[in-house]
Amino acid sequence: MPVESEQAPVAAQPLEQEQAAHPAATGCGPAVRRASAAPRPPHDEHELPDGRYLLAYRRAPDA
Amino acid sequence: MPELRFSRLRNEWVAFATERNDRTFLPTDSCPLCPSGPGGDSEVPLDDFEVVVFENRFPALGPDRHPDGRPVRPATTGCEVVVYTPEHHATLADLDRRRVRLLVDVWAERYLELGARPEVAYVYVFENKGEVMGVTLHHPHGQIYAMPFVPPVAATELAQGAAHRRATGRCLHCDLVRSERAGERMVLDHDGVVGFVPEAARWPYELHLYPEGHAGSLAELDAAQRDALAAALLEAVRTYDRHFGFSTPYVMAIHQAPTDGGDWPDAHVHIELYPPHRRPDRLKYVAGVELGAGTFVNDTLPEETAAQLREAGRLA
Repeated sequence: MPVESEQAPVAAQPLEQEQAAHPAATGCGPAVRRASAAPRPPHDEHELPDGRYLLAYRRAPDA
Repeated sequence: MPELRFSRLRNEWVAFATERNDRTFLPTDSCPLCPSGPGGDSEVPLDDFEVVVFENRFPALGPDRHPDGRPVRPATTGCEVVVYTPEHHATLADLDRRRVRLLVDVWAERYLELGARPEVAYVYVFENKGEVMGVTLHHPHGQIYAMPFVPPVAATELAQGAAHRRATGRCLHCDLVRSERAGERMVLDHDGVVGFVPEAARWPYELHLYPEGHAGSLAELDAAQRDALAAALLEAVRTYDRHFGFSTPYVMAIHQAPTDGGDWPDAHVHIELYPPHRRPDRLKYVAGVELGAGTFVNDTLPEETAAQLREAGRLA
């Protein structure tokens, strides 16, 4: 039976990784939390010559 | 084509993106981030703009590409560039408060848009400023990585938060903010956004900026909170410049709730700033102990650097 001094202090124990460190390299679906009532900035969408998108944002009129 | 490999030894993902090895490096003849007008040859072929976001030409992560190089749609994971202003020689500290507020709104928008993609587990917003932090373009800009996993720093914070909640029933971040608020490591307080040097800062002048009200992401902040966060961020970077006496390099990292479908009550959005200087004429390097052992050695005390930053703030 280990004596107390041989036990690592609780603070030094490695954390259980739980859901945070799931190694799978993939998300599992949209899960963004609620958006606030802050006004959303308007934007224009453009396409660059190689197919990438470019978004130009402007201040919302009441922001 | 970017590729992810998982290290079983370190329990971490490593991104491989060989095309980045030949990306544009500190160009002197023209700037890819300046507006070049319709049909122009920069990355921003517009006459003018306030803030633009575009897909990084040299991404560290996805999306997949067709044989002709065009990105596969719908977009999945990926990397975006956020250009703060058309002014080539400006820095974040030079922007006015309304422009920084727009930046906060754009970061929140991109969190929602990118986080809604099924493949994206984490939306990481950050900025590297200064050549010592590895920038390859001086035009003021930041980046967003839409990642297919929760990166290790965020994962550790979340696990610590979950352990704290099990032990106390409270949010770890909210408790940290409460304990720091009246303490000697506080640096700034802007209408409900506080900034302090953390008790166990890795970097001498590291600052953490927190909205006091609990919110998992920028998207949850209301207009007043976003105004306050923009003001606090501006004050923080201007304070660095006043303290050091030059335009201070830093890494800015925004930690938010994952977007992987889980419930993350312990996520509390905050901005972390890591300037690499330990004195105006000395850098702190990430070297043997930090890289090989994972333990940071800090040559300063957070209580003392916080006092220096408060003094610099008073000079505003």
